[in-house]
Amino acid sequence: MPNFFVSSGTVVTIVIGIVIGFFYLRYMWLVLQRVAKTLDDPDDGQSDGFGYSFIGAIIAVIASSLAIAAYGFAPQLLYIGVVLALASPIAVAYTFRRELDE
Amino acid sequence: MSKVQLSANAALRPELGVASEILLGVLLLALVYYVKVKLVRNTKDFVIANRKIGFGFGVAGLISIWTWAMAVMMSAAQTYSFGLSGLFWFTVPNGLAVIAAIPFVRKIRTLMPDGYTIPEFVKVRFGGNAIAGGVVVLGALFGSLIEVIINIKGTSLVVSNVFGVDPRLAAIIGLLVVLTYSILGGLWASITTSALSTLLHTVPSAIIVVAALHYAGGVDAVWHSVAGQGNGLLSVARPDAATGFGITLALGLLTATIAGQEFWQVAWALKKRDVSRSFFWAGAWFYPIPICLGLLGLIGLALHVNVNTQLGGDAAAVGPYLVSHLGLPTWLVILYVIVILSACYSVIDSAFTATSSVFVVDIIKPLVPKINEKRLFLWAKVPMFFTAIIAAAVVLTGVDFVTIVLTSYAIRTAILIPLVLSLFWARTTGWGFVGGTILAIAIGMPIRSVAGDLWGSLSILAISAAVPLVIGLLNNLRFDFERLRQVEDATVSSEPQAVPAE
Repeated sequence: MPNFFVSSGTVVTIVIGIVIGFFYLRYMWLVLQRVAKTLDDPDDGQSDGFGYSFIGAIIAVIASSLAIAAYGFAPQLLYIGVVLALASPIAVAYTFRRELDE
Repeated sequence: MSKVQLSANAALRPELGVASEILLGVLLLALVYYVKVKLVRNTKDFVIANRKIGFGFGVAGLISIWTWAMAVMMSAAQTYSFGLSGLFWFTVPNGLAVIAAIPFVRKIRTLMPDGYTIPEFVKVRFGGNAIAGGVVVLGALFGSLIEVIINIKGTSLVVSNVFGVDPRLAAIIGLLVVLTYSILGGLWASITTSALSTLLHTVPSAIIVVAALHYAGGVDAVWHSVAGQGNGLLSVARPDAATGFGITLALGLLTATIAGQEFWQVAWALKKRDVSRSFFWAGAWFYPIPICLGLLGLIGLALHVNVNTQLGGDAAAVGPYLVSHLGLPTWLVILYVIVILSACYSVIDSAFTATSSVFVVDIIKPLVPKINEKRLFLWAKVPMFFTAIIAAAVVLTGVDFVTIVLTSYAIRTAILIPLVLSLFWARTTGWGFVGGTILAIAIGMPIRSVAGDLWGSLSILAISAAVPLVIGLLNNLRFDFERLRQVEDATVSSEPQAVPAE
């Protein structure tokens, strides 16, 4: 029989998630407003470099492989996936923030 | 683990399923209304977002466009089928496929800054070769159609399995929701709703997995139950995962990004300085989604869920089954369904936009070069209707769409290497492109049906590489890539003229 209530761990995740969601939506909204104001500005930027992306790609692939492999080492490491899932919107919120700063 | 009882949740009634689909649609529609009023004034805004997508929306949009419903469910399914090796071979090539597109999207954006579509590039690159252009137009339209069909099937499967909604009703509601907001906002609608969906793919996934682990007895019980089964389930080095699906999947994923109009249109819509970093960050931060949701597969293994008696023979159902049978609160089950629905919707709206840009740039503009902006803007929405109608017909009639899937797969795989060569090798010719593509399909598909996916895919790739290379070497003609820079913006008559609405 399903309950309405959840474990304390789930409650903590929900609270963290709400905080992350707030900042994510805030930055997303601010960027959206800025795009609306600068829609006709010329794009005179140059193409970005590929070097850092290439190094970053190698790190990302290795890190994700290690995260999956870590699941097999100990029960508590199963939470790595949860931590990463919460880190992902933080990273995206950072990209919104950075767009605002540029 | 024996204490955990798996039973259906009686509160999950059909009306809740329908309400979930509509509520998500209303939320996205509210966002798109703002976008339509503020950002979408003409065809250029509609099909290419006026090339003003920045870093944030680029990353968030790409993550969600790449997160198919099947990706959400298959990460758990492959973990359930092969243990951590399944999760490894599903996840790592997935993110890598987005990152691997960087050299190609950078190159195309540099060579042809005012481009819109793959067929447009191919036509210019091969001097208007109609067959080359036709093959690629067909591949792009079929590819987008199949994405819509697969994801609308995903919507109907999940909503019908969890809530007992008629799958046809679930599919129609899903299609109507996405069609409505896509018609309003085009690529801007796709990118902004996808950005919101990225939040829905991540935070709710973390909450659901933590709750599911708790209801399954805790991480210790789950981990020790799987470890006790042996069979390399907690190892990433099981070779059968690689040979069973991993290598074929990796090839298919690379094809989907490098030869996918959905990704090229974003590359052309991003601001120049944001192209590489957006694709890189999207690939890297896509990884946590399958890594997290794959844990549902591990829970399925731990609880000894039976694929035949409990999942109807389909391992992809392991996630929805567990979430709806573990005894989780109803609101958490609804949250899980919203994760999957948002994945479906974001892929479908992206595919709708891809059909729109191909239709406008590669069909309408060549046929009616003097078409005025107002009519062009209207025509940009027509292919979305047709794609939705065909997808609905396929789902409603239960027609076997294997032929469409195979055609789409064959064309996309067969054009992958000729497309790459045409970008990087000046000696690639139009006939090499066409010959490589057609021969690869003609010879490779029969091999695929006889020898299986892996050998079929490798044959298609080998033939499609060999033919343009040989013809290119024999012809000794060199294309001047500078000609691509001279291509005019296809919606040049649609440059912003109106004052933005307040």
